Amino acid sequence: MANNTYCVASNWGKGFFTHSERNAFHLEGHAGDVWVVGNNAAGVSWINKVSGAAKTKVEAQAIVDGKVEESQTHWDSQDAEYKALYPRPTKYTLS
Amino acid sequence: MATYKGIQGVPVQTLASDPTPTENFVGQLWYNSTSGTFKIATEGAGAWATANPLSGTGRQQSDMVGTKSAAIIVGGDYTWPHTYPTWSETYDGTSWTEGNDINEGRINAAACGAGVPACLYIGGTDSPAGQLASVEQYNGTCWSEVNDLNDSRRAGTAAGTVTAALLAGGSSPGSTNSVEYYDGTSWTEGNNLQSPNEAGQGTGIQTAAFVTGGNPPATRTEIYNGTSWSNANSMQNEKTSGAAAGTTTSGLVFGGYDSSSPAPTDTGQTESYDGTSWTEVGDMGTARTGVAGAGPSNQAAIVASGYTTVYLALCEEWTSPLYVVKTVTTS
Repeated sequence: MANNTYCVASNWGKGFFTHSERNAFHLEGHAGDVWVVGNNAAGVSWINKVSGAAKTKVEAQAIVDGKVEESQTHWDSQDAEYKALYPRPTKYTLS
Repeated sequence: MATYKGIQGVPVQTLASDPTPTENFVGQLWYNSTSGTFKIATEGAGAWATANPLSGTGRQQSDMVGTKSAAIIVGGDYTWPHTYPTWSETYDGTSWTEGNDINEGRINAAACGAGVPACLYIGGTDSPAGQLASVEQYNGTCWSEVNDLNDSRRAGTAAGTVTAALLAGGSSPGSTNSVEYYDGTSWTEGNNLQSPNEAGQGTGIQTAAFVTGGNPPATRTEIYNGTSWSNANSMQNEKTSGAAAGTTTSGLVFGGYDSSSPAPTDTGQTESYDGTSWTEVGDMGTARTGVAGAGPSNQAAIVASGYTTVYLALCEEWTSPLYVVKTVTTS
């Protein structure tokens, strides 16, 4: 079972996460600036570096779900050509 | 009792600070007198790191050529109905700068070339159901039209330079296995792919190129040896609308859409090719499809733009291997 922690942080570009940080802990970016972060010392240090706002998994999942719902609403309002070209966004569970 | 000097012939060096780890330092041991610890330089796995985002808005279905220190991204869109912007941006290793526009806005084109100095932007579409035969060439400053493809198509895969290129597959409409070859002046139809391929990932040069994945999402790989296309070992994961970097002996494919289990998803998966087989390596920080990417090998690449719930301007850089300093412990 994944041992992760969750935060919200805005990706500012170069230096937001480095190569060595990627090799030191698990990291996934999601819609709503949600980050799934490996729960070890390096991961916690990175959250501090980026001034991440800590979230519970439920809170993080709710943010991502909200963004997916926004994109689903957008998809539903499009014409048939759009729907034929692009799949409808689907909700998924954070690790 | 054996000693380090007895085995290696030299004593352990004492250094006040750790040297910057490089390939030449791998395996070397030293004593850091400041921290009071023994250190060793090792070769670590590759990884993606963030780079500065595009100067413009997020977009998908752009194309990129170049390297981590000099790249160009062109085309793509973020609206529906598409407005087919004519934008391009160049990257200097630090930041993206808006460049001169292409002549004909489009998405789902293919790009190849040496990057910022010279590249081709091939085919694509400027309407929901259409495809283009037009080709534009960048000379480092501006874009100009060159001779058209013989067959219009979108979502093909390009490889080569502005004087020796190829465009493989695409939709014309419907997936095609047709390949056209460019000699710097005109396009000629030549040996075809073994299977139709649309929205696959590929790169290389005109005499040594690969195409892998494609729509519907697939794992198959074909290699061109300058004479014919042949099937090669498949990727580990299905992928379409991702990006590729490198060569037929040092390739990298990343991002895209993965329709395999457990659920279809935009992916950050990265696979490295050594000329024989594909190996899954470190994921991108932000998964996405419709990405643009480029790079000279499976050791260095850049990715920007794409879509996952929202249009992205995010950029990441791949480096492999990474050389790191580790503290020697007894545990």
